Amino acid sequence: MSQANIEKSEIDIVIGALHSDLTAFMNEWKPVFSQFHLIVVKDPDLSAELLIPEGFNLDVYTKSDIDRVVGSATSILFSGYSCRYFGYLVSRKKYIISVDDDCVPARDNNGSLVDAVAQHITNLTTPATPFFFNTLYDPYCKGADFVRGYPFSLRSGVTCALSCGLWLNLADYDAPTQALKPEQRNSRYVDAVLTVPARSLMPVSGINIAFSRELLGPALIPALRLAGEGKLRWETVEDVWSGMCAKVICDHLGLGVKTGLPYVWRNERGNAIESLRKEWEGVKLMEEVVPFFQSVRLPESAITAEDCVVEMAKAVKEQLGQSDPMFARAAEVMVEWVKLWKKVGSS
Amino acid sequence: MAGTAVSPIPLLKDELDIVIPTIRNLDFLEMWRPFFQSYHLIIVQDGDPSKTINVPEGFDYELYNRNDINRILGPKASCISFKDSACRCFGYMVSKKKYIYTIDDDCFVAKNPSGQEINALEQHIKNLLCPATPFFFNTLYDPYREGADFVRGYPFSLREGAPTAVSHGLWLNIPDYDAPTQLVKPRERNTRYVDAVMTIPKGTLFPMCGMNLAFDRELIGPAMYFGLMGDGQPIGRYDDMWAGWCIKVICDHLGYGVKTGLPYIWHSKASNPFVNLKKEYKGIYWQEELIPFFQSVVLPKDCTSVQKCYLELSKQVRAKLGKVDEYFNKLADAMVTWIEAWDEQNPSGGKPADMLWGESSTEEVIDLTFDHESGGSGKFPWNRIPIEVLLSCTADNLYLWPRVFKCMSHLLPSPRTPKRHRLDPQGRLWLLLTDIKNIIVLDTLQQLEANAPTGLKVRHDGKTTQQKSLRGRCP
Repeated sequence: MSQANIEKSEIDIVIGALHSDLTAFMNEWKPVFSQFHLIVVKDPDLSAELLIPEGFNLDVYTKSDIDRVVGSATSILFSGYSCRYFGYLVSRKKYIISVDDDCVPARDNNGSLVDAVAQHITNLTTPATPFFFNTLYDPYCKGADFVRGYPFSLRSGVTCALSCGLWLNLADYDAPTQALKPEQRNSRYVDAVLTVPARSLMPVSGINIAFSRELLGPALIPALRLAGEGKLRWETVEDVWSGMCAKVICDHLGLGVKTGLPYVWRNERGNAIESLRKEWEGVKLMEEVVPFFQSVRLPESAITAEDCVVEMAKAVKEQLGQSDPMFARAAEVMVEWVKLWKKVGSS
Repeated sequence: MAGTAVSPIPLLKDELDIVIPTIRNLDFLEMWRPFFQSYHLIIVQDGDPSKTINVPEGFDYELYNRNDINRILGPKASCISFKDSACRCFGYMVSKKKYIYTIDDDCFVAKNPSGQEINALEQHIKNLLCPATPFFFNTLYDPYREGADFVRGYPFSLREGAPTAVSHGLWLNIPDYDAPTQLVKPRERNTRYVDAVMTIPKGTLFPMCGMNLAFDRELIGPAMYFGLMGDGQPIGRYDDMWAGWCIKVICDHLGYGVKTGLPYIWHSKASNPFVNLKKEYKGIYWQEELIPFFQSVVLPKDCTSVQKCYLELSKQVRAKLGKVDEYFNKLADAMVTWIEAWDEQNPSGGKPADMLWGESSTEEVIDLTFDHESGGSGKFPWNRIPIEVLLSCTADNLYLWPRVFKCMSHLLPSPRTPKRHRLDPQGRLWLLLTDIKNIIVLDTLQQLEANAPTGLKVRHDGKTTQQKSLRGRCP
């Protein structure tokens, strides 16, 4: 299905603004973004005024808007990178695409500008194949197909609900890895989209992501907030947690998750070594949650994303809540989130 | 022993056999000469044994035709297919090497996007020597590759990976499609070079193609039986598929990894889709039963060797697939015969490979408690090894990423980590230390770099201590 068939009016692009001056960012993305509606959410901790160039169809939300909609007690949920979740909440569109404000369009191996939005939409509107691995990757793209030995009954695939893109230049490494390899840049453009198989877990990065709000919206939650969470990706795990929950939920609901194209070009900022001091907390937490996510099973009765989140929250509270108050809090947030979604998120 | 920043890829020429099934000729070897000439070939001649297959000069090979197979295996030869490239698995059985590379005789050297010829064998060797990551998917694909790594959120305890048992390569030009797809898209060519190697996650099945395949015979060899195909059988072109489902289930059970992706070869010959359709016909609807079967197979814990797993699998094939068609009873019998034949031909038994990178008699072990300030020379020649150490401390967990390092087992109290580690070909070693007594504390990386590198201090109290980096000179 070509992108032309998808109404541009079905798409929202959500940008979490952690920098006040978005001029360069917006201008770089103009060729891609100008046809769409944008939701810009300003990090409530950012004091400076946002600078956004003309020529875009957008709505901007700041701390006062967030306070007004969810109440100032709840607005803490949306601090830092998590501000974008407010955009997910207030959007009314079918698809959401979100990139970090330190990323610009990448170029492919032929030197052409990558239209990340178009690629994400293609990913979300073609089927995913989570039940059997296709060795030629995405069988629905031009020039490829299912290989010999791929069962025919599985060739219609399932709906893709989440599309995870990648990053050239500064890849999404954790602080220790980046500190150890300060010169390492990702220059390898891997020309593939593939479905992450069912029951396989992966680290979902929030840097370059798109999803079906209609199918999966409530499952992306700013639930896990580190005590020392900061304003650099190295200092967060909100997207990793959110992504693990979303993957489990997709597996349960029979939805697909794709990874690969599109790439964005991620710019440098921050000092990995400084972040190293803070990030160990997130790294440590990850170790504890893996066995949980690998074994958690949701009941048959959970048939919507909201139901699944409520069940996940229960499981988190029971199985992880004892080991660290961070998880007990995450479970609470997940339950709050579903209520918030029902109140604010549904039209 | 010591790694440099980019270690040369070992040729493994005395540890790898190239198995080629053929029914016509081996002219294609001329193109592969620069890459294959140092290796021993095992040629399995299918079809008429009275025909002479011409092997290009200069290759070291052994050739087996049907008469040889019958002679060597006696009545057990019934498990080896006739008039089908499935006969190649005979080559796996009689090989005495650790690794096998198998390639079809219509596969040629491909070129990468820069126009360079691809040394497929070298890439397969890299794939087999580096760990796989079946327990958690890395979104940047193979983390051990030059220029890549594990992404944020990838659990550190899983970064050691698992031993790679199989390396599944791909094909440019004629893609490996089934007959119906070939009929619908006769002119489709695979022109997309996807520059990635990745591990197929545990619990996921895939269609394994035998055209460009390498594996560790010691880890998984006995499971690489390519089934009963061809002459006298109701099915063809499912030999590699069958083996692929079996090996994947067994690899998942034993904790081995299966990789797919690079290298590409150039597949030149499209077989006749109508002939293929006749061969595949039963397979196409049988696989609808086979896939759920393989997806739900559970191997009991006491199946600790490949042979045991395979025999157990054959029992389950008989029990659950026998009712789909009588063929599966015959296949189950053949699976048992195969294991018997394998064990006869390989009497020392399939000893599972120890550790990721094999035993090394010249391994040296570093004493981590070596103290620079004491002026002791220590046992280990620090100044000959390029080392970078990055350490991070928490109260009770410690993550250590040395570039080139070996350490004593008492530093690895976590039950999840093996007793001894060796350097990987990238010169990396992953450790998870959970013993509070062995905390090493980082001050800042710059401070590490600024200090003259000769030693390492270990403290027990968890407080910041003066830290030296270990950056020696390359040997």
